[in-house]
Amino acid sequence: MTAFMTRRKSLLVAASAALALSLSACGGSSTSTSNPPVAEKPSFAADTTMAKLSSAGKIVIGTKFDQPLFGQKGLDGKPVGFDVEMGKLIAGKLGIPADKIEWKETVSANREQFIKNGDVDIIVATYTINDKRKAEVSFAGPYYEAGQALMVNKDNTSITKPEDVKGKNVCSVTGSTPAATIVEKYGAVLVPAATYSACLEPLRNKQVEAITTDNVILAGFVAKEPDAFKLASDQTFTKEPYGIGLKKDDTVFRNWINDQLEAFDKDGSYKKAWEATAGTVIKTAPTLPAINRHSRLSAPLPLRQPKEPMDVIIENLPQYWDGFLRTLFLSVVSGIIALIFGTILAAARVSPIAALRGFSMTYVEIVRNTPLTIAFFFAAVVLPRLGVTFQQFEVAAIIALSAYTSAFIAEAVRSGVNSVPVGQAEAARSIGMKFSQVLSLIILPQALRTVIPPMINILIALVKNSSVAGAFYVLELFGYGRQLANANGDAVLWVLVGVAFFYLLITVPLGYVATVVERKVAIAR
Amino acid sequence: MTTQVPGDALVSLNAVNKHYGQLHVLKDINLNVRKGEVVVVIGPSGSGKSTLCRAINRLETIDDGVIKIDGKVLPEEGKELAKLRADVGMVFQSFNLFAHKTILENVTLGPIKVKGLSKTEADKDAMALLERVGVGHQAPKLPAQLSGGQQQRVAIARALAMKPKVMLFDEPTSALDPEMINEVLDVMIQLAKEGMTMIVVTHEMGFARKAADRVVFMADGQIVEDATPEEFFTNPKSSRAKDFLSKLLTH
Ligand SMILES: Nc1ncnc2c1ncn2[C@@H]1O[C@H](COP(=O)(O)OP(=O)(O)O)[C@@H](O)[C@H]1O
Ligand SMILES: [Mg+2]
Repeated sequence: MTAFMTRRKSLLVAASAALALSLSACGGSSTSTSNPPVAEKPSFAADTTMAKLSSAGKIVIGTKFDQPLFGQKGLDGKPVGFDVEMGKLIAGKLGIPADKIEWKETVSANREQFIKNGDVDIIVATYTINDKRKAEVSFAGPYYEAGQALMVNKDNTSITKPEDVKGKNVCSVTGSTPAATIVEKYGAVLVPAATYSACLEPLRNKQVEAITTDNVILAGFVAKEPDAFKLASDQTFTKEPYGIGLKKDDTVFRNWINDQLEAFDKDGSYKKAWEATAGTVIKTAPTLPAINRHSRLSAPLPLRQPKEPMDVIIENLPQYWDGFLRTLFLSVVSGIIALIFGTILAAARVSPIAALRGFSMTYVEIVRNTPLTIAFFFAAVVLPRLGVTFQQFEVAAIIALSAYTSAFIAEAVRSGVNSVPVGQAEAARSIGMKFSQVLSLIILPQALRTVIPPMINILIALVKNSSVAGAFYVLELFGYGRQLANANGDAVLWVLVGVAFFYLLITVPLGYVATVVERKVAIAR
Repeated sequence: MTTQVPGDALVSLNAVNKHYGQLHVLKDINLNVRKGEVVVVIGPSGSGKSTLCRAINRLETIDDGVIKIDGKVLPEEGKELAKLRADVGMVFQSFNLFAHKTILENVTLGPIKVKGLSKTEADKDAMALLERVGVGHQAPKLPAQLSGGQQQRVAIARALAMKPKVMLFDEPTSALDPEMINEVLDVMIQLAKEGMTMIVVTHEMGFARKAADRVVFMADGQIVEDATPEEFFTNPKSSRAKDFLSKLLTH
């Protein structure tokens, strides 16, 4: 029922957004498309692409059908957006009216192929100019420079620039360039997700404070839910030039389009197209980027040098270190909570009150016999459903880890308590001590010595168990390891060696302490 | 305050019964111990002597009957019980000194934590008590560094530090090497002379003859005889007591 409602609601939102867009785009006319000026019988040199298209009186333009504000299919089946406006402006200069344009949906994977096959004449589809693509097609423009930006909740005022996200949770797609940039350059805490849409709920719940990727994608989300989200700023902090794709080496056509782009800039139609479309979200109208006139031969792609295996560890030391600190943090905080709660559980287990004994026993038995992932699932997924929400996933991870570990601590403490002769408690009771005094003054101090070695083993297990947090959006040592392994497919082994090394950095000293204590206890007996 | 008529019972057990599962360990026990009285409990192993002691300061619960200390019924659990327990000192067969505390701390812990005495006050009292039982110079040591006899004397001092109304001794010398028995018994005899009310489970007839006002003979969870030491040792009435004494004397 609720799922149905939400779907209905988001459909409605999308529909009204599209409606609002088309209304603003056509300046009040009832059709969903604008109609830019069409040149009357323009003349072109024979055999040029312009002449061919102009005399045919129609053009096939590839664009996206699913990118709000740039190219998105409207209610009438025709796409609307800034890319579409650019296409119409160019067609107009060829003397082709908007209704003679055939719009073809292009997606990232098929754009070069469509141009090569002649399926489309030009492509205006948030099409980033890069060397790899230039080897297959030519680009006019750039006509727009997109770039990485941040999207935040509408009420957020604390994040206006990328420097503001230092130490804060930011969601992006696993392994993507924006994800790497926000972590490495701006020190954000990455909460990785499979898709950008998957970042929306965490943002809404404030589990993350921002989502980062291209401003164009983010603006699309804002357009759909303008009451929920906004761009942190109209500025971008990386540059992604968008070009108009055409057949490779059709230099005449390319130069002509470049001329038109400059003309659109001069006569204000560029700005008008922006304001009617993407400008509804990205209020600051862009200036036309410097046109790339000369088809420079781009430098060949640098061949990736085969690396020394150890390099992957050395190069990524900062990330390892960061992951190490996070793992240490998770372990220490969870460890302290588990020690306290576990001791309380053990005390309850030997208390004179039957209800406390029962609770402690049930808790310990259930938790000890349940996989850790269930505890995580409970803390990260079930608790939020029950209305307990967390600012950060770390909190859920700490709850899960300490709840889980405390059961084992409780058992260790209990066996330590059992190792203290009953006479000690009886003597303490016989001089009038209360249960709590007997426990804290007589039993626990004596139990502690025997309890420390098994306790340290539990803490070592906790350090290793904290890696499960990586699967629940908390980035710690293991999570970083997984990212590095993805990014360095050829050196997975060494990535993992690095991960293991940093775990050992915590667990080996702990094990050493256990050995020393064990020896001391042996002497004291 | 109730009027303390001489002869009033400081410890009174009335129709007390206790089972361990099927085993009936205390059978309809009636026992009154007056203020200043020293009662020796004697009987074969397994007859319920320890259980009796432990019931009196509520280390064990009882099934039915009433146990009163200075006229007050033993409470079930909690603060009240802890308070009443402090009135009943107990000395165990195996000393049970707190292994992680020094001799001095063993004696001061109760006064400080239960009675709320200051450390200086408690230290002063404790040192006096330790001197009294002859182990004053051992104060800073840990229990494991003392002999059994010394440990048991510390245990007596620890119990006395709470200023109890009655002292229970459960075979205080059974775990000791023979040469150490007397140093502990001497302390107990001294205590008896000073007027302490005492219930002592022991097979030391010398102590019974010297210090006891009464001897209570237990067998199979019942009080079989209750007499003066003289009467009991020279002229036991029951065949069980006769039998027990003959075995004891041959040792
Ligand atoms: N905690 C217990 N659980 C079950 N039986 C017990 C327990 N303590 C003592 N008993 C039994 O109760 C009987 C009396 O024990 P106890 O009072 O220790 O005798 P005594 O001190 O006279 O030797 C014995 O048969 C003993 O085995
Ligand atoms: Mg006994």
